[in-house]
Amino acid sequence: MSPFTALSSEDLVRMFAEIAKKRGIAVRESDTRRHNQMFRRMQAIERVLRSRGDDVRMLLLPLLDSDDRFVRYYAARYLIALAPERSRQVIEYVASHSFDALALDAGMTLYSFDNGIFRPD
Amino acid sequence: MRIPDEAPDTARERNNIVRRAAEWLRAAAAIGAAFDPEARAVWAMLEAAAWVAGHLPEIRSYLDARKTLEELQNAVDDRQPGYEIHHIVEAQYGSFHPDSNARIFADRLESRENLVRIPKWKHVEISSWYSRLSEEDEKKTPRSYLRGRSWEAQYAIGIQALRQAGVLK
Repeated sequence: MSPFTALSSEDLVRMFAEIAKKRGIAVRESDTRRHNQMFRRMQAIERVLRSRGDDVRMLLLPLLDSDDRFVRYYAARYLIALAPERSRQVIEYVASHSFDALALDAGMTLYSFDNGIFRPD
Repeated sequence: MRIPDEAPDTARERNNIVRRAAEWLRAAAAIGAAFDPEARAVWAMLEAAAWVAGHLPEIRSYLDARKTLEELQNAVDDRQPGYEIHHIVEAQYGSFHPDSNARIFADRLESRENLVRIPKWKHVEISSWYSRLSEEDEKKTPRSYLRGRSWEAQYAIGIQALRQAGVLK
């Protein structure tokens, strides 16, 4: 059982935001090992949120307006099936207004999505 | 932004400072502020720190405008500090996997069509992207997703990565 299942949904969303910041920094620093650790944690949190239903997954929605672009970006990646227009706007903005490695990440996300490689649900 | 006079102890710390400076200057250039006092001050700090001298070419190359594929390919014959040679279809020479590109496409990897000269830190960014897990498939990196796929499929992704990294027009 995931250690995250015991946490409240609100705590999971807070934790998601903290991990998003660390994941974004890992991308920026090309620290792949650290990135993949953070990715796995984020996936584990998302699985728990998903198991609680779409209403709970939508608790990530306010993160799209976070002051932190890493938080906005990763929330958008996880919400693109539930809030496609708003999430896409966020990812497009990161792709075109970032001047570091996150721009590449965001651009390739859109490419994968538009070419059917990334099929979020 | 602050550039320490003394070199940080680790390569990671040094690289982080150099990269943040390069990114900052790139952002400044993008909004037309490359010659504003703040940008000039950053350049002055970089040039004043002796330990940064060896990194200046990679900072300058990070500010390059996008180039055509032909320009990037032609530059391969003109090796310069601050740049690295990048394989559009990854070479994977260190891989022992039976489907590694080094085994399957040995005769094409070093061809003119597959080699481009790009800014050093863009090379690092693209190579890192190939190694990152992502939501597309939680068990696969782009590298493992592409393993065993056709040359054309891998080339198309490689071109897209150059474009999204801001290297290719």
